[in-house]
Amino acid sequence: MYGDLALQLVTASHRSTLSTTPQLPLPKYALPLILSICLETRQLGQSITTAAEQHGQVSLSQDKSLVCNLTVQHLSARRNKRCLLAYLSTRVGGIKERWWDSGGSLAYLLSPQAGLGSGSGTTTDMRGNDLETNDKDLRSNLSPQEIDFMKGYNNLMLDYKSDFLDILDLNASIDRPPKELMVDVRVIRDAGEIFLENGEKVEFRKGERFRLNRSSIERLIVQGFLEEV
Amino acid sequence: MSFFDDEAEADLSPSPIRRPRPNQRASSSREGSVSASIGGSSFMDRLRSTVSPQPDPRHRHQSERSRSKASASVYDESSLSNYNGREHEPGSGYGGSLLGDEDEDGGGSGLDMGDGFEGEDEDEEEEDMNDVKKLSKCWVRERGTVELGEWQGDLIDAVFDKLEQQQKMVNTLRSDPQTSEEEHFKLMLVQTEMERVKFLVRSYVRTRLHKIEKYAHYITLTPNMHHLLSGAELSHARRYTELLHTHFQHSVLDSLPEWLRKMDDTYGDGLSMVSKPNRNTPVLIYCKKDCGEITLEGGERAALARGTTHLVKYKLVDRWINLGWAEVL
Amino acid sequence: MALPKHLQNGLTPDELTFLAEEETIDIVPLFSMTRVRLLSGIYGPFQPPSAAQVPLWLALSLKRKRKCRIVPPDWLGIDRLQTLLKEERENAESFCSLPRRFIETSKVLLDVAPDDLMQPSTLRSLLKDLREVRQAKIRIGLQSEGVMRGSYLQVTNLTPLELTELKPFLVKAMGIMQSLEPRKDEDEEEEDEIGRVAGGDYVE
Repeated sequence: MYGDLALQLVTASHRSTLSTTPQLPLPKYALPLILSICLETRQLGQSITTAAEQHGQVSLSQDKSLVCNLTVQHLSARRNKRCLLAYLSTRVGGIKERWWDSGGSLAYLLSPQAGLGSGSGTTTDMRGNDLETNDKDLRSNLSPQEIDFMKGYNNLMLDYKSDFLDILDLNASIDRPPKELMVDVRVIRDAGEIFLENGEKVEFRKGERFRLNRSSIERLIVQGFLEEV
Repeated sequence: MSFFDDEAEADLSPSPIRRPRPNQRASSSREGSVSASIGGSSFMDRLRSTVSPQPDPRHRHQSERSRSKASASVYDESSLSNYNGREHEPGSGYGGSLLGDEDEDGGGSGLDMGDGFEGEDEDEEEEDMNDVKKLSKCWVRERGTVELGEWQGDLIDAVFDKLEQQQKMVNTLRSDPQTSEEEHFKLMLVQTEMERVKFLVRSYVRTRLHKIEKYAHYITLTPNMHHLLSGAELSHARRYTELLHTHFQHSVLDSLPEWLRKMDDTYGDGLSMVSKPNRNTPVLIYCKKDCGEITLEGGERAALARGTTHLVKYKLVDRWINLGWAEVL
Repeated sequence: MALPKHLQNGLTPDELTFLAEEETIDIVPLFSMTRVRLLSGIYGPFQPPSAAQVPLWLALSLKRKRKCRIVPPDWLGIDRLQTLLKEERENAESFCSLPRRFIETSKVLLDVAPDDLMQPSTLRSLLKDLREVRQAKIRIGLQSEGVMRGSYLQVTNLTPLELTELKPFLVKAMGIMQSLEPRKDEDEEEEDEIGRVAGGDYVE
């Protein structure tokens, strides 16, 4: 029936938003389904146009079954559009969420992340690995248009952020208000050598613990390299 | 350019509540950074003096005197007595009214040292609040309502100026080997507070951004909302709308019949594609003043008396919120 | 999202604690230091045994470094709490007025500075009782018929933290009740947002 495919699209999409914690990987872009829905919609459009042309104004005002038929087709087409956009919107939300979760790092989101966090699968390592899996999948789960969107969003945000940059990084976490200035962290994934804001150089190797100024390593916590102890 | 107490009041505005006179601050900060960059000692001296009291700060007050003659002599006296604070008899009245002296001298109106716990902040008037308190209120309001509040540009600018100055001072003093332990301790407190304030700003800005993106299309189509946004926010709303619509077009709309490609349809059930804030969403308010009565659906009435708290549809009380008579919780 | 999902329903308990930490409290410093200028004001001088008034976060920070003794707010005493508890129990019709951030403040003080409080364990249990009496009243109140007249509820004297626990549920309930109301075909009738995304509604 008309609209069945579209219904399938939105219910699946809705289901994926229900479980919010832990965040699931963004499902693969449902290209085949979307193409079928677009095709169905174009066919509906075609059929409406043809019917209208064949019958002309006169019968449109008299032939009740024809009017009914056209109305159903018309509404089905509109519903398809609505479902398609609902699906896209939900995913846009997911994409933006991941952008913010990554601390606004497009490179990090789109990189294959291979090699990082490889090795042992101890419990402390779980989070890192999960993240890695998500990210690895992210690129291949997005449509080319979605990747464009993400890049575009990244650019918009870079512009917006630049006004604040002298003072603060908008991408630093707002999940929890800051407590003490210094924070104890454990490295849960090798981050290599990093220059901190005071010019100090620190090498973060997995398993090591540090006591550092929170603001200088906030980003590494957001990106899952460090974990607060 | 002083951040710590002592003669700080001379350099900054008399009381931290008052917006500092912008021209005055701007010039002093320029002067400071120039001398610092050429390695002049005056900037360092000034910074240093903010942390460790100097025996004779009088010459530094010279310029201040001309500005506020009336209070100059009292001012100096009080600053001196503050420098010698530790020589005071224990319990010589410093405990309760910490800043009583400055309040008179510097002309600062009641530095509100915060409401007591029983005092409750409901009685606090906007002007008496320090910037951090003001920012907290704006943040709470932004978080508590569906509609976008007015962008607090002046407040954010003032807070940013101060954060910037403090950051400069922290950077300079932290790397200076002559900085004493007490100074380091004070720097730690300064930084702790800076992190708190930055968090507030970040959360405030991002809360707004969230709403702006959610209602981006509606905002761009509604000129009488534009005054609520900063220039950067409005531009973000426009560009975001465009980005989103381009994405929709490229992804699916271009493959649909032409008459289905619009972004502003209204559906059969009355829903528009352009989402706008649902002003029926309930909001929690505390009535700081008597806000009269409201009429609920079904004709029942509810009194919004002073000191009462309500969960009520936003659209029924938005004017009281905007007037500041009702506070969002 | 610019605003993470778990923050979209309103302020979190952590954030309310953050706000409580902006309120001032008296301390007796155990060290000497001249005054310090912060964004929120000028604090000090710190000179034992004179008391000083500082924001709670500053007091807690000093306390963690064993640099001060915190003077508990006067409501955080056994006598006061016992009186409050009694009033709260006897008054079935409404809630007692408490300091706005009493839960958050008492919690951090009990966590960080129990040694500055008289009989912290008794305080803890009194506070817990007080909380529970109030929570029980909230539950009973919500069950009573017609408490929610349309989308309105009077919640006077409930503190923001208590309301935060309640709000998501109430807002959802009100949303559902709204959607059950007959829809008026007027221009002012605002659209319902539940389950809605830009450009379309979810179908379920």
